Amino acid sequence: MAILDLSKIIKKYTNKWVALTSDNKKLVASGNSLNAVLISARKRGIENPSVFKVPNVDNLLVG
Amino acid sequence: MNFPYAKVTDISRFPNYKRTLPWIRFGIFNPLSPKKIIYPLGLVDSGSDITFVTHEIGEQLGYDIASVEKGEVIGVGGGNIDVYFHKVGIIVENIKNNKDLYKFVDLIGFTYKDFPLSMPQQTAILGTMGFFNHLNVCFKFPAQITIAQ
Repeated sequence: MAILDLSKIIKKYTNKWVALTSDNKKLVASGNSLNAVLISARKRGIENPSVFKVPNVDNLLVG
Repeated sequence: MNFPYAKVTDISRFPNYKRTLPWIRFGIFNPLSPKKIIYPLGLVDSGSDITFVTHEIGEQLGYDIASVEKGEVIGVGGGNIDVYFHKVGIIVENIKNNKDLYKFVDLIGFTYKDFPLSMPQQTAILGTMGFFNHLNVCFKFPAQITIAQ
């Protein structure tokens, strides 16, 4: 199964909320809150986007 | 059903290595108003005793997050975080095939504040209570995560 490559989105939008199409293949919105990206995505016709707040992934963690 | 691992970054010091994590899309809803569903990408984390989710998702779903007694989770990004346990609905589905869908209701924790910034996941952690106790999960790194009920 092909890896889902989110690295470019994560690099560009760290600490922002982002919304993707439901297949996770395309960015449809970014913003400072979950509410803002849900509204933006729905305006673009994406009713059930995948959403996440972009973390800093440079921290390696054990636990 | 199978989910891909997510590549989150290249490791610049080691050009042939990339950091891939078991992040999957899942649905979460308030059983009192089940038509509104949010679909976060969360980390499938067998090392977490509980499932917990950022407060912004709880607020979207209409929860009064701090209305219940709080608990403390230790070890989150090297620190501690307060969580508030509420009953939620969880959906795991194969978006390519609507017939494959697992749905259950369980207690999860909502944070009242953001996750610690040191943590490489700021949205949702899918742990034992609220995820693994309902599902069979097989990690086949780096090919896929297989989930069955």
